[in-house]
Amino acid sequence: MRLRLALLIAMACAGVARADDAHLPFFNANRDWVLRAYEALPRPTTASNTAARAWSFDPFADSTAVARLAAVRASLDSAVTLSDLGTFRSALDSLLASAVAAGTRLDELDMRFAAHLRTALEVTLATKKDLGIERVETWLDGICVHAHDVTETERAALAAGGVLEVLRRVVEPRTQALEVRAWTRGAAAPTCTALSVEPVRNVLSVCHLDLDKAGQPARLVRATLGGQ
Amino acid sequence: MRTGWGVLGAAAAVVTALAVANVDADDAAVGARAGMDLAATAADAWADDARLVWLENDAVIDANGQSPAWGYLYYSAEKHAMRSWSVRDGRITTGQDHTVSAEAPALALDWADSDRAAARAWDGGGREFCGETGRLESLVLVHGIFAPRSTWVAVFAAGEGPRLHVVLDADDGDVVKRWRG
Repeated sequence: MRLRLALLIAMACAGVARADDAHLPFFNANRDWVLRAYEALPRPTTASNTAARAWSFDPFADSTAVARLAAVRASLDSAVTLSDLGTFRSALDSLLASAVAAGTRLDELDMRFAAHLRTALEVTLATKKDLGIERVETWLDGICVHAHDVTETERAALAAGGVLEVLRRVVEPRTQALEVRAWTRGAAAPTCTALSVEPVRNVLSVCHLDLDKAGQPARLVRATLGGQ
Repeated sequence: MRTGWGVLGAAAAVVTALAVANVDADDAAVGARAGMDLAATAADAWADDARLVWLENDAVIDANGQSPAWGYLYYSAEKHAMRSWSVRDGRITTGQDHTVSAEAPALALDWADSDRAAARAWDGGGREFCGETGRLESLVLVHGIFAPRSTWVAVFAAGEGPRLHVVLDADDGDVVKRWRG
């Protein structure tokens, strides 16, 4: 409580004057106090298996559901009075509520699963037979996200018309600078292909590069897979 | 619990009349939830355990609590890092790593959208404070800092003087506290 009061006073002193179109202006103007306040918050205690709870849920293996279904059926089969029917109705309502809850949970898991996997970028590379690629690096927004030393087997596959997957990963659905650097046998500097990509949300975006000649950027073929 | 949000239809007209914010006509102003899905997708690409801990308007906000751009700040316990995205016109325009970080609690899932929060904030002291010339300057959604739950913080400015801060329950819109500073 004391910390919150101190925070309010501090914020009053600092003010929150904001520039239009600044990113998180209030947060940045008061960042130190905000972070200090976060650090002072009590930490919730969680069970050690919290993270795995979602994966331990399998409605198809729910033996209690089978048992409850059998009980509901039995309560209908044995019903001879209005009171018995009331019991059946109550058991049925309970079962339906459980089914709805399980369905909701499945929907939630499905949404999370989709969000984790579906906005993705794949970059593939094909080369002329005689280029002899030795190493490939993939950069996103100036950061090397993947580096790969091409094996003899992969070089042979490329020479035979194959395609090398140089990147496949989940990415943010925003415009990003993609650069592929490929070192060819005997070349002093890598061949750089730079392009702007904007992966579409919940879609696998594919960039296929055709490298014809060392020292020149590769030709690009774009494609997308999936989506709604 | 949401009845508190329902009384504001008539007030909205008054609020609109008080509006002095100049929102860029090129970009449609939207509520804070409009960019949520896009920001969440980006956050999922960043960290499996990313959680939304803060959001606020990234551009001028109108009197109805709508802005052309919203900023979403996420925290990852696994990375012990913060990253934020700005969403405008259905696109991510900024992705930013933060150099310092603190373990921040997740926002509640059932927060009312910014238009409702703004309406309650106007009723909760904003209208009286702003008079003819003041305006709603910021709307911030945060958990734990101003109250032990998720709250909207509305900041009103009137001239160069102190601003009015109105803290509202993120779910039902009840005023939790207010202060000038």
